[in-house]
Amino acid sequence: MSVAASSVDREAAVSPGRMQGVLSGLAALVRRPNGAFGLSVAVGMVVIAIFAPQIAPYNPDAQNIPAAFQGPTTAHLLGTDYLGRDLLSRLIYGTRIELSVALPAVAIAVLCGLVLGLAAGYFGGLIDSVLVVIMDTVQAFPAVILALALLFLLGPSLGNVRIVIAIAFVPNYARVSRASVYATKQNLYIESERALGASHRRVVLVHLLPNIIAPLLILIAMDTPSAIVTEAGLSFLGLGVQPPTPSWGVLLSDGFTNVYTSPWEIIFASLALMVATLGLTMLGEALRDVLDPRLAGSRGSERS
Amino acid sequence: MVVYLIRRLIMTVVVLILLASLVASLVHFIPGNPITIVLGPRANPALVAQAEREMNLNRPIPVQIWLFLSNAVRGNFGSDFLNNAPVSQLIMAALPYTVTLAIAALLLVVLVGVPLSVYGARRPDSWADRASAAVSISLITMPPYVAGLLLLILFPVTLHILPAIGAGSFSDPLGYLEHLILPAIALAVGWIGYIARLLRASMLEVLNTSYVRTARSWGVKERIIFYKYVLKNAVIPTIAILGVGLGQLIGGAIFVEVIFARPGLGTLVYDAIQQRNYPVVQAGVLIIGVMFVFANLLADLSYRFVDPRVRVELGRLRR
Amino acid sequence: MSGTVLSVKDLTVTYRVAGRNVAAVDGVSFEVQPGEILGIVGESGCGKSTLSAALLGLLPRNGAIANGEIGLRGEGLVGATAERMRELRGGQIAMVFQDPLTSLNPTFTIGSQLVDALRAHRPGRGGRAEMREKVIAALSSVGIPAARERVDSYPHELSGGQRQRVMIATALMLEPAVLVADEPTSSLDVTLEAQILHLLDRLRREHDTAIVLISHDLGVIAQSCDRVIVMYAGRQVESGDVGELFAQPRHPYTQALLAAAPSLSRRRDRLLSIEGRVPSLSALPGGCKFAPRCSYAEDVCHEREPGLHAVGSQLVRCHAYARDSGYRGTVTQLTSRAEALAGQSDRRTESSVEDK
Repeated sequence: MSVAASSVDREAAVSPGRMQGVLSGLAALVRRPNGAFGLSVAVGMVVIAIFAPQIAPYNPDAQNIPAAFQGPTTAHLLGTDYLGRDLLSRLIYGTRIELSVALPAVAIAVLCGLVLGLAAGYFGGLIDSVLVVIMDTVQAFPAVILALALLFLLGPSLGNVRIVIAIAFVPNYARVSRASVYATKQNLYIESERALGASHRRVVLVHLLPNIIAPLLILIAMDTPSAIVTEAGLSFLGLGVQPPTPSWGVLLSDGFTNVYTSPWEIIFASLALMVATLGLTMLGEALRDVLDPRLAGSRGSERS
Repeated sequence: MVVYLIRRLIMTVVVLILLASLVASLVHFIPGNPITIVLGPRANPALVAQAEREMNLNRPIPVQIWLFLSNAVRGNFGSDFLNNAPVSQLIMAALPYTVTLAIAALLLVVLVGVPLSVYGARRPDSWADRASAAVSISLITMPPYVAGLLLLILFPVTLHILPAIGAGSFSDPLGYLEHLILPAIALAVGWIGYIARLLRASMLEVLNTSYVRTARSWGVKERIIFYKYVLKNAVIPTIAILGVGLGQLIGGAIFVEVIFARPGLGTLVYDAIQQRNYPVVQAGVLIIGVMFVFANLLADLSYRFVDPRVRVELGRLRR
Repeated sequence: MSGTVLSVKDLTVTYRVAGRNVAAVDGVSFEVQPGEILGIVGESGCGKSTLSAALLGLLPRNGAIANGEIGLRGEGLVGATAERMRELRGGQIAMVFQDPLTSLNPTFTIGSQLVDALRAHRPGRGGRAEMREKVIAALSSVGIPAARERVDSYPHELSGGQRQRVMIATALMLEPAVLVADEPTSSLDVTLEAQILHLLDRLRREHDTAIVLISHDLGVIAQSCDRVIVMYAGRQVESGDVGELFAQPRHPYTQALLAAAPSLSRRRDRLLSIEGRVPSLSALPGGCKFAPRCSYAEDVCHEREPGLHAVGSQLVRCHAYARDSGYRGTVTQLTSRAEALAGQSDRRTESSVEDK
């Protein structure tokens, strides 16, 4: 009963007045404190990434060995690293690197996962069973370990890290879309539509997609910080982005090598990572509250 | 119950076999000559020829998988590339350090996370609750390598207490513990925050249920309601999460071991990757995957033991 | 028979919703004697559940008793400390809830839950074994078969009807002076309903328990209660002796309720329903709350809220029965309708007596 009702509601929200739906959703998001914070972090990161050349005070690769290992000064607001490179500039360009790895990786995962999950759910039978088995096996590894194995074989590079992270995340999206297909399949009115001759494409577009959008968006919002953290970890181990490209993980690695000399590189790179993770995760939580309060669980002890 | 157990165990075995097959055949999913891929930059004609002879990489894939599996089951993972030492020996030497690290971290998660969440649930929306929420949330954002690095800076580097390198030896328990503290904390930190939030939310949910209302209507003391009823009911979904957590702890251990130079499984695999020591990488990845699967299995089973609804249902299945 | 065991005077309960205070119960008063069953009847949203929660001090965090008094054996409950309320709950005033399927903790055996209830009121008195025996005795006295084995079962191993009996068994065991039964039979079928009502009757006969029976089911009320209060939008609109109320319903809402109740003894082409909807508590009309739906409403009804007026042995909140309210319609008009309906309800009460 409630499934039918909610899919009808979402249909109404998605087709006509779709723009209004999106705008009012955004307003609801910003009203929440974690939504506002998350959104500003996300927007901030995108802006910093796009305008890095304009914002950064120095060239991130410009070495200045006499000025190496400095703490925060007026010349270098966040200090310098072991080659005298300005940390602030490297962090700013690092934002660019992070987003250029995380966002495409998640996008690839979404696309592949959606297609695979839709196929599995729609065609069922052997295709479905095979897919489930493969996904379970991929998820039987901690993501980092899988990534390590793949990077060992593929060779460490920024592009390969993207692929590897995408592979690790595909099962999430395959699961979600497969589940949505099954949930929608159960709706009797689809059967009657098909009996009336509606094409597969119409069924997918009108019935499936609106139901998937909400959980998908939430998953994307939660996976992006996860991708950033994974990439930073892999780059820290030297298996991801290679120096001198200033991924935050590379900065951590440089800082680690020289930890007894100067802690600043580690401190600032950690801060950047934590703020980014916190902001994007909060954005994900706020999205979840706005789009699907059922998933939110109880907050405080007030009850209607 | 028995039927379910058997079914679950069979599933686990299937997953393990698939896991091992994946590990065995992974190199073939990548375009290129498997031998040159494996050897990487070290490839030279002599090495390639040797690898061809010893590694079966050019035999049909199902044969490779079969060989790998049948050897693995017997504990034979071949010899490593560097010293021709039996890989299984290397793994057995490294494993205890990783296991103790993971268990220590898990203990910390429980011992710190549970009280933190209880405190928050007993006085929801108070200043103390909000403060512990802020702490929990910031902890969640710390991946193990960030926590490890920051701890490294704070204690050994700046304050000069607690060692930064190595694991000590089992024969010196106090020293061993000293070497264990920082890595365990680094590993546990993220999960402490997560468990604190999760358990708190779960407890608050239970506090709003009908059966807690019933107990209150009988005049049962609030303390008993909380520590007996609420805790038990809220712990059940948390155990399932903890199981996954154990697996993730194992995955995060590699960072912590590298940062603190602990000679565990993580360092073994890491070094092997740098040295292109393929058999060690293969075996290490497999073992970690197996540990992950078992951790999940353990969590799943214990969850079903604790929840009486599932227990009795399964018992009924038997009849 | 001693004096009034539960007295409620002018009780008003509010909830804080979206920054405003909304009254879910407004100015309700009644008294219950030992061994008496008072029914509270009304549609959903009329405030009956809020009333029961207020009696036990189990209002949610955003609820509060804004006004009025509750007296339990002479002790005022409204200002009582949380600890005092806890002491009173179960032993002096207890409650049976509507949803037996969720009212018991699924991860503990019913035996251990009942022992916990017992221990809350007799600390230190008797060891586990003794308490266990008491629990088993209580369970078998409500008709749970094989109580000695069942005491170690989990709630989900029992049926809904059995779980409801476990709840009543707890009440029997604790021997409260007042039992509030909030829709105790709503989720049960007719045979189980009869059994539960029978149990409640036993409680009042054997232990002199005063019972507040809340229900939306007129048949249940007619069968079991001595007196009844009809509630609408948080207010009591009519109250008094149950036989009198069914024979001569005076308030238009009561009349409509009785008319709308389907009856086997009268053929009808369609089910009557009361036009309109129950008003939202945060947007109540001025004047009489039932006026928008009342077919007898006049101007004065929309302007001023009526007070409770005594009519015979009943209390009615309606301008039509007030001598100086300005209501112009004739009382005869309403009473004749009441008498017309009385013909139907007589037959109804007769048939329900037979079912006993």
